[in-house]
Amino acid sequence: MTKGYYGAVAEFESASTIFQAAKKATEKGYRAVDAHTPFPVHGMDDALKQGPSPIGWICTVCGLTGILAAQ
Amino acid sequence: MTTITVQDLPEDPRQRAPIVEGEHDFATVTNAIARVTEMKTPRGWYVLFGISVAAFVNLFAMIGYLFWTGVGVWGNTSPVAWGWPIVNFVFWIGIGHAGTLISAILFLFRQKWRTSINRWSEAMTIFAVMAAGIFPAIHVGRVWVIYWVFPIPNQMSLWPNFKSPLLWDVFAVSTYFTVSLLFWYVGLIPDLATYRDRFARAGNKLKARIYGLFALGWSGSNRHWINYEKAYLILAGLSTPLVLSVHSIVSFDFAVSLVPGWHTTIFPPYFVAGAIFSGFGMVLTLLIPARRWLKLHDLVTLNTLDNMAKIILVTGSMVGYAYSMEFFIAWYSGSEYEQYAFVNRAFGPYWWAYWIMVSCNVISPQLFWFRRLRRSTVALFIVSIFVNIGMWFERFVIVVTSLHRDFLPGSWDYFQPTIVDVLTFVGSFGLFMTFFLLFCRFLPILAISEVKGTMAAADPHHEAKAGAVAEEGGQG
Repeated sequence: MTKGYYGAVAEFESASTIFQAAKKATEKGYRAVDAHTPFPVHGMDDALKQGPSPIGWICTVCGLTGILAAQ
Repeated sequence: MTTITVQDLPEDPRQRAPIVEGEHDFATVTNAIARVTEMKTPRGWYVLFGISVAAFVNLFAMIGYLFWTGVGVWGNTSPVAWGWPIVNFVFWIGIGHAGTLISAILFLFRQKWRTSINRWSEAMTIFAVMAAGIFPAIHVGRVWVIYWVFPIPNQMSLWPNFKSPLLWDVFAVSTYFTVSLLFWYVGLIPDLATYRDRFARAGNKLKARIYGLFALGWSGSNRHWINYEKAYLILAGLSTPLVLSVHSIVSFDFAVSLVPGWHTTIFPPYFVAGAIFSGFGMVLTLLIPARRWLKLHDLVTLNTLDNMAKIILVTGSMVGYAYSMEFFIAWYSGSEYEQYAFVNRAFGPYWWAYWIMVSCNVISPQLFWFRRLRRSTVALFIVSIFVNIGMWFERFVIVVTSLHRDFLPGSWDYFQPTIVDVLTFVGSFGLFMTFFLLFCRFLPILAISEVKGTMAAADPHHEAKAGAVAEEGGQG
């Protein structure tokens, strides 16, 4: 990639094209990719190779703190 | 983008009817729903809102009068110490159950037709629980010490009685309200972001900021959707037991006592079925006129209404079964008090209330065995009104007929409501409708992102599949 470029944005017309594009981008080895869609597109998590979110663990710690603090 | 035109449920039962009918793509779905908020306020809305606010103000006046004078302003008197306020409480709390059933249980069972009605029903749940919560609170008599119902540490070492179902009710109803509100709000976030973006594009900065504040910076990123879908699933899981537990606990208010007519084990399932029945009745009562006025026929389809009618038929029949089983058990128990309570219910001084209840709740839903009536908005609307009336009378029958002739014939009496009872009940409708009309005016009344998600074009493999079929056809 040419020096000075930090990212690229593209607009897609349908769920299938954005899905295919996400797949191709991750196959090429790009990892810092994201898709913005007006509804959840199923299979997109795998296509983008996004791992599980840490939010579950953060919530667990917060919840346990709450329980312990209430005792 | 593909469009689907299907006017009627396919006769082939293996095929699912589409959720969105007519010539729609993603943009027209958003427009059809956002139009309701973006259009100039119709005059009819002001009329309805004016009436609702007047009734709501009247509720405040009635409550003020009640607090000033005392519970004697109501018809409640010995032996009927639980009159209309408790009837109204159970009536409203029951109505809320349709929203939770639709949002939680139908979601877990992947009943996609729920997407066109879940937002309304959830809103209705929240406003109905608000209307319900008022009644037990103002019924306590000494309302200035209402906080004693909560187990708050205090210098008098006063502690609520944990053996009392009335206390369980406090927890059940407040948990129910909290979870329903969270569920509703989480579902709203993507749609609030849609509104934010639309108002920003239209140049309305203030509205864009307000919607944007509540949209919590939603951008539709896949990362957002992952967390959103997980949160939604967890909330659906949390709400599912609440559908069953809340009205079970409300039924314990009666069943745990020793009053003949109340002390029965059938109460929890019977109350839950009745709650879902009454909730669907109220959803239909509000949905049918709104669908017509707001021109949402393509999004709230006849197939959806048909499905709702089926649920009304099932739960109405369950309620009818419970009514007959109560009589059977009263006879089979051999308890003369129990037997008298039920004979008195059907043929005593309140026979009229009992038979209004039976004809509205058991007989009228049986019309929905006919497909033609399930798909007639007029028939649906009329039956939904009957369901509302019948379910209010069910609670009236349970509360009043069981109490008005207790163990001592010397204290028997005929309960009569006062005008304050009637106006307070009208006022609770005012509260409910005021909030509901505000919701219809300012929030997305249908779950935009969920409706889009059910459309064929939302499937990432949709066009690939269509292409494959075309190729096969070409080869053949």
